Amino acid sequence: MSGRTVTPPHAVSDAYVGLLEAFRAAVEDAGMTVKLPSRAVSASFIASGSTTAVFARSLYLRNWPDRRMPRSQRLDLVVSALETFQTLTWSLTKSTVYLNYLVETSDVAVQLVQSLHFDFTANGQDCHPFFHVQLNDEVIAEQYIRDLRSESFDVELRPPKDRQISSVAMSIPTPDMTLASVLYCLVAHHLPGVFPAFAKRVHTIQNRLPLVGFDALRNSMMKSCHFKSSHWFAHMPSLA
Amino acid sequence: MSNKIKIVLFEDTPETRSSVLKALKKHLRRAGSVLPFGGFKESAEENRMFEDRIQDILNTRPFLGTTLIVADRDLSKSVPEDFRGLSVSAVAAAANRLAIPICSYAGLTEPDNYDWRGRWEEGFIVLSLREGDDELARRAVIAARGFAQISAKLPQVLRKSSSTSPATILAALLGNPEYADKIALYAVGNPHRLAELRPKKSTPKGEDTRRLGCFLGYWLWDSVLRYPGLLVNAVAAASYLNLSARDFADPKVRSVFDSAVYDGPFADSENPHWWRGMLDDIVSSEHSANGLELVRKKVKPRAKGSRCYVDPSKEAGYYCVIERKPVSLENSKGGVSWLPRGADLARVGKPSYDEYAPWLGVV
Repeated sequence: MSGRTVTPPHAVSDAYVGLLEAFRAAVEDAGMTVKLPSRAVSASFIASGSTTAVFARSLYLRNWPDRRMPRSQRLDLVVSALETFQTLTWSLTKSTVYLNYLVETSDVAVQLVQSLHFDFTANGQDCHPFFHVQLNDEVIAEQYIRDLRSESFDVELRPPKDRQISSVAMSIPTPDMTLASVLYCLVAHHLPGVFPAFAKRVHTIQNRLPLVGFDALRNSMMKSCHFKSSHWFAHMPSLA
Repeated sequence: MSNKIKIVLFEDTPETRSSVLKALKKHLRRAGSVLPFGGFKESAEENRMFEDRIQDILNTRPFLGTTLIVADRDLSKSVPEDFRGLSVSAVAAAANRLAIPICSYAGLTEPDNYDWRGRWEEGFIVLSLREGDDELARRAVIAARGFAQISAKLPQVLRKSSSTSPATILAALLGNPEYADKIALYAVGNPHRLAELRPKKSTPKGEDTRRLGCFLGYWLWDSVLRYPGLLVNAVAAASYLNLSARDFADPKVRSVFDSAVYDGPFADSENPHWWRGMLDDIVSSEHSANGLELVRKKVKPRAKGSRCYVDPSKEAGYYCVIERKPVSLENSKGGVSWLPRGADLARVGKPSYDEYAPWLGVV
């Protein structure tokens, strides 16, 4: 993602710096490495409209451990976050976090084995749960990892050989899975040994992260309703 | 410790000693005194190691309670004669034992274009005579005042702080506890420095605090203030705000950012620093995209943006620590191992990178 950078309040960029540094520290404590763009975090806020800005940042995690993967096989992860802010209040109005799991095919290429993206829009999307994850078989688009590409990240991300059945899966409701939660879950699942320390470290950062607008969902949860799944579509007034 | 600053000068060339002494006195005014090293009588045997002898001398009047030692790098012609062959390392070793900070300066002939190197590991602040006695003295007095400020404030900060983390303590010392995490990113893993932080059972009362003050001062001077990230110098600030150096030097423009000026220990009115986060808040609170937009809106409609020194067709935004010039992301490299992680605006311009890469420790 490229464009004119926007200066967010220090508290907003500082929360992202804290989160990403805590993540990096956890990864390094686990003896792994994470490749982050070296551009300043504050330079990752790009104007996307007259009153909106997108925080765009990606990460490359090489040779990550996974219980289900044979040790002989290298598992890489690429994460790309696009979080949109309303710049008058700097509240988070939209978030898409792409996550690709890839296995090594050669030194310079990896092949997709699982692709997810976590979505949230403050006003909701028709026929999509408010917070949801979508599985598909697409590698993260080059435009979303341009910040990594400019830092000599030259691994080729290849699509799977065959079309994956997961690509036809429905949108699955999730809790708030904005970037902070995705990183949190990645550490919990892949690096359980360092998770308690990481969780403790980010605890103080959580309150500083931008507020997510989810009024429709909150109002729905406050009401009594037997069919709980309807909460996930509370942003659609026709169903209220 | 008295609030008055006491500087001890080690200089072996009489003419230089006299001129540096004079310049130090001029800049110190009534804030304290300057003593040349010498004019003492030693009671102990004089064939001991230099550092043992210097330690004893600094521990007695009139040198007792020294705030800062200023020492020439080359002390080989030292007088009195039985100190002939003295080196700054011996002075630094004695100073280190007594937790007295030390500023060392190089002679006129030594090139000073290595300032971008990490000096942290050398164990003392490095100044230069290249810009003359007066500038050397001005900078040394700023250092002395800074260490004195830290010494005066540290006991109170330690009483109030429940944390023993140096970053938390330094953030509190600077009056911005919320920056503790950012300051922690300036931590440099140096085992020599670690020794200064470890409490020693046999040390006299107050020495651990002095030692911590010395450590924090070096850290602040040589890392936090040196490499743009948490704080930014004028070139880095202009680059970050997307303002040309000329426009940022304009007092009208500077006044927009006055509230972000750093005024803590080692603040230098001739070479000021700004809190980067406060610059962000000034720009953001006016709903401007960057400093240039804000300045054009408020005080200077024809202000120009900051240009990359490698390719002036590009906006800068960052700071090349070797050339000390504004540089763009595309024409520079980050991730240099000796740059503190918190210094996210500090980079190396591509031409310098290409020249020095094998020595820069790029990761």
